[in-house]
Amino acid sequence: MSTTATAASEQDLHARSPLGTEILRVESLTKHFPIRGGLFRRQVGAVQAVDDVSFAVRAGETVGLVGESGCGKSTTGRCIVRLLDPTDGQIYFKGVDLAGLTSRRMRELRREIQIMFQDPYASLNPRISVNEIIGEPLRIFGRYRGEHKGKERVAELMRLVGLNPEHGNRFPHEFSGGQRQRIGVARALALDPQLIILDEPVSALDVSIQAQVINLLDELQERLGLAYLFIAHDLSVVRHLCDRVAVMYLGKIVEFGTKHEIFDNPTHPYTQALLSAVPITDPRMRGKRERIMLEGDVPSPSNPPSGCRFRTRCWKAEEICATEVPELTDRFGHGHPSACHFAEPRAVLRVDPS
Amino acid sequence: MTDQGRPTRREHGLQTPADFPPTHASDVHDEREVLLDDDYSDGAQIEARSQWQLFRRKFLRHKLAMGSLVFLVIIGIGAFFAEQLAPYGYEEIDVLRANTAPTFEGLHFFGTDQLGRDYFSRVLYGTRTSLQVAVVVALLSTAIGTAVGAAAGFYRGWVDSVLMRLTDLVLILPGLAVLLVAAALFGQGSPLRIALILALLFWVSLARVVRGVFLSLREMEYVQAARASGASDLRIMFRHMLPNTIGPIIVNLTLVLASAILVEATLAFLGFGVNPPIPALGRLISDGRSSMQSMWWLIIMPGVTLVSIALAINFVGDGLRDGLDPTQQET
Amino acid sequence: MTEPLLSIRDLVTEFATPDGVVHAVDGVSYDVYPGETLGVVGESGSGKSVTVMSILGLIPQPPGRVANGEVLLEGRDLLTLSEREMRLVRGKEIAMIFQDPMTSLNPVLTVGDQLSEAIVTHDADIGEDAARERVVGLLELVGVPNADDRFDQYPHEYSGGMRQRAMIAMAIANQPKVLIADEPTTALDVTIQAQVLEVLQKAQDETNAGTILITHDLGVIAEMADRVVVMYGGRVVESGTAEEIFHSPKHPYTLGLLSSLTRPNVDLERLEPIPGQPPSLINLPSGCSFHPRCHLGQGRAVCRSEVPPLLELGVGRRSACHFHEEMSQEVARVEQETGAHFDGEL
Repeated sequence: MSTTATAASEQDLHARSPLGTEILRVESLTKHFPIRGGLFRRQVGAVQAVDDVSFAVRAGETVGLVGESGCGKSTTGRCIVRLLDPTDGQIYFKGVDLAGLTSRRMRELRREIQIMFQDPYASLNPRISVNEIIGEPLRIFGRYRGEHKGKERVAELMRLVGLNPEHGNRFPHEFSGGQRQRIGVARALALDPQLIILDEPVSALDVSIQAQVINLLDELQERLGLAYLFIAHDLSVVRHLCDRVAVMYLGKIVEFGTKHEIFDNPTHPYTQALLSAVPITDPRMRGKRERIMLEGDVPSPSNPPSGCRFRTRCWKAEEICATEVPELTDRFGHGHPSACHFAEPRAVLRVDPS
Repeated sequence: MTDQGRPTRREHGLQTPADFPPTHASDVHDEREVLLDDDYSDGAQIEARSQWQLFRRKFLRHKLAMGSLVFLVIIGIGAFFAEQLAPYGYEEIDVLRANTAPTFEGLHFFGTDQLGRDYFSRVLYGTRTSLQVAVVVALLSTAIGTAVGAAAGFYRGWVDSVLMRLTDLVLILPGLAVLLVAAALFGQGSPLRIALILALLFWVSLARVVRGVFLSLREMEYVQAARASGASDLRIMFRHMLPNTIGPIIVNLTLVLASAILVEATLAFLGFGVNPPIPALGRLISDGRSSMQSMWWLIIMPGVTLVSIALAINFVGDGLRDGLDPTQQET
Repeated sequence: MTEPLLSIRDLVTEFATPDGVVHAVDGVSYDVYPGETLGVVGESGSGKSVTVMSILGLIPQPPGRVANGEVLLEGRDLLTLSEREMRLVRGKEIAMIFQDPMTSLNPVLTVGDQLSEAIVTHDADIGEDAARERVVGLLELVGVPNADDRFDQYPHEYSGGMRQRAMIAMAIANQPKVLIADEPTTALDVTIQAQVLEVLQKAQDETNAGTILITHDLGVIAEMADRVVVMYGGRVVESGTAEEIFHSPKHPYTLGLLSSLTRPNVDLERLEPIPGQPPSLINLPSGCSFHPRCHLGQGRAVCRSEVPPLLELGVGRRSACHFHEEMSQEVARVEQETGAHFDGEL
C-alpha cells in the first residue's frame, strides 16, 4: 500500500519517531493453522485463528487488543514479532514490510519490536541468572562486551524497573511473581525498542502486584516514549492503560476506536455484550445495569459461521448477516469503525447508581 | 506531540542510576515509589541460593542416594586401582589353595576357584571391565540419544519423522538376538567393541525422552522470548533448552549405566562378552555356575557385586532426579 | 439476624515445612447465615482456600493439621467428626464448587452418571429412573440446553462454561445447607463468567443455602456478595457488608486493594498499589503482618510489636487495625491521589 512507497532509510528506522506518527501498520494479517489428519497427515482443514486483521500503532501510544480466549489476539501479537509466520498479509514497521526482509535485516529490525509474556513463571529460563536473562538480548546483538559495558547496562535496566541490581546473580525462582514480571520488562527494554507487545502482562498477578506492574509500564512509556500493543482480556486494565482499543471476536476485529468510543459508546453488539458482562466493583450498581447475556459458546475457529462471525450469538442477526461479511468501517457516522451491519451506539457501562 | 517537543533518542535513553534512589518505608509518598518494590531496600528477604547449592541440599538429604554414591565411589576407586589393590593377579594360579571358601587367611576374602586363583582379585578386575564397558556405553549412548532427540524435537517436520522412524526401528529390534549376532560378528571379545555395539542400541530411549522435553520446551515462553530477541537456533538449543533437559538426561544416563552392566554381564554369561582371560562379572558368574552346589561363593560373590552396583546406580539416579528438578520446591 | 448456619471459631491450620511450622490459617472466625453470600477476598497465600479445606476436613495430613478451633454446622462441631461421618457431611450438607471444571469431572464417565452418583451416594433408595429425572431437572435448572441429551455426554463434549454449570448442578444435587465456591469463574471468559454467576445466584435462591464465595476478583465480590471477609497473611483483617467494604473500608489493606483496582467504568488518574510483596507465611512480619506495606501505620511501634485484635466496630463490622479511626482521612487521601470516589459512583 501507499505506506511502503517511501521506505525510510536505515537510520530513520532506528531513530525514535515523533510521538503520534505511525510506526507499525498491520494489513490484512491472516494466520491459519493447518489441521492435519488421516494416514498421510494431509491438511484436512484450518483453524482460522486470525483473519484479515488490519490496524496501526503510533509512536508513544498504547493500543489494546481485547477479546476472549481463542479470539486470535495473542496469535496476532506473535505474528508481529514473527514468532509465527503469517499466512497472509503485511506487517510494516515504519513503512518497511517485515516479510520482505532478508533474515539479517529482519534481525536488526527485530530489536525495535520486543514482546513480554503473561506467565511470570514460564517466561524466564530457570537455569540462568537474572543478569544473564536481562543481558541476553545485548549479547545476541553484540552489545554486551567491551565499550558497550553490558554489565552496567543490565544494572541500569534493573534499577529502571525497580529491582535491586545486587540481586542480579540470583535465579528466577528466588523472585516473586511481580518481581519476575519486572525482570521480563527489563529484558524487553534491553535493546531500547520502540514498540513492545505486552501479551497479558498482568493477568497472572494478584491485584496489588498487578497495579505495581501497570504503574511501572505507564511510567516507562512516558519516560522512554514507548509504544505498546497491549493484549488482554481484562477490560478494566485495558481502559486504564490504552489510548485506542481493538475488540476481537473469532479472529476478526469487530470494533476499533479510542478508549472512550469503545467504553462509552460501543456500537458493535459483541462489544456491548462484553462490556455489560464485566463485573463493576461497586455493590450499589448491582442489578441496576443492563445485562446482555449471550447465548451459547464461541463457535470453533476451524469452522466459523458464514458472513458475520458473531451472528450465531447475536440478538440482532438477520439474513444479511449470514450472507455478507460486515466490513470494519464507520458506516453510520458514529466516529469509529464497527464491523456490524446494524451498528448502533448503546451505553452499557454508564449507569447512574441512584 | 508536535515536532518541536519531540524527544531525541538520546533523551529517551535510560536515566542514570542517580535518578532512581532506593525507596524507604518513609517515602511512600514519593512519586517513584511504584517503580520500586520494597525488596529493593531489604535485600535480606530472599536468601540467595545458587542452583548448585539447591541441588546439593536436596541431594544430600536423599540418604539412600548418598549412601549409594559413597558405595559406588569406593567400588569405582577399587576397580580403577585394581592392579595396586588386588592381593593377587587375576591369572595367578595357586593349585595348593584351590577351592578355598572365603577366608581372611591369605587374604582370600572371596575364596579361590578351582585353579586356586584368588576370587576377590578376579571380582575386582571383573568389576573394572564391567564398569569400563558400562561407562563407555552410557556416555556414547547419551551423546547419540541427546543429539538425535534434540534435533528431532527442535526442528520437527521431516527431520523429526526421519529420526523417529529410525528410533522406532532400533526399538523394535529383538534386542538380545541382535546383540548376540552383533557381538559374535563384530565384538571379537574386545571391551571397546562390545561397548560400541551396546551404545548403538541403548540411545533410543533417551532420544525419545529428549525429543519430548524439547517439544514442550519449544513452546515455553522463555524460549519464545529468546527467539523474539533474535537468538540463533544453536543459542536457543544450547542455552535455553539443553540445560533444562539435563535432569532427564542424567537420570537416563544412570539407568543406561545400570542396564549396560547387566546386559554386558548377560552377554558374558552367554559367552559373547569380553574374551578370557580378562575377567568380567558375567563371565565369572557363568564359569561359577557349574560348581554352584559345592562352591557357592563362585556365583554369590560376583552376583552380589553385580546386583549391588546396579541397585546403587539406580538409587543415585533417584536422588539426582529429585535434586535436579528446579521447579520442585522442598515440601 | 437469625442464627448462623456455619460458624468458624478461632480456626488454626498449620503445615509442617522443612523451614518450620507455617500457620496458613491463624485464628480465623466468621459466620455464614442461611441464604446469604459471604465473599472471602484475599490474595494468594492469604489462607482463604485453606480455611474452607479445613472446614471440609480436606487438609492433607501430614504435613497439614487443624491445630485449633471449632467449625459449627448448626451447632455440631465438624472438627470432632470421624472421617466416615465427615463423608456424609461433604456433598450432602456442605457442597463445593472448584475453580477448574476441567479437572473436577472424571473424563471417562458421562456427566449424567457423575451427577446421578452424587445423588445415589447420599440417597441409596432412589431408583435409577428417579435419579436420572432429578439430574435432568438439575441440568435444566443451571441452564444446560437439551438436558436429556446432554445427560449421556462426556465432559469433553461440554464447553468450559457448561462444565462449570454441571459442577454447580452437582453441588446443589442434595440440597446442601452450605455451598462453597472456590474461585468458580477464574478460569472462564468474562461473558461466560457472567452466565455462570447468574446460574450460581439461581442455584442459591433455589436451595437457600448459605454460600461462601472465595475469590481474588473484587468485581465478582461486588456483584455477588452480601457480606465480605477480607483475609491477609492467614488472618481476617476486615469484615462487613459489601457496601461497607467497598465504600468505607476500615483496614488499610482493603483500601490498598481498592486503590489498586482498575475500573471498567471510571477513568482513574493513577493507581495506588500496595508496595512490596505479599508476606511469606514462613516468615510473617511481627505484630500486624501488614505493617511493612502499610501507609497508614507509617512504621509506628505498636504496629510492629502487637498483633491488632479483630475489633467489633458495629454489628458484623470488624477491623483488625490499631488505627482504624484514622481510616476516613486515609480514604480521603487515596481519593485525592487516584481520582476514585469511594463514596460516590465507583
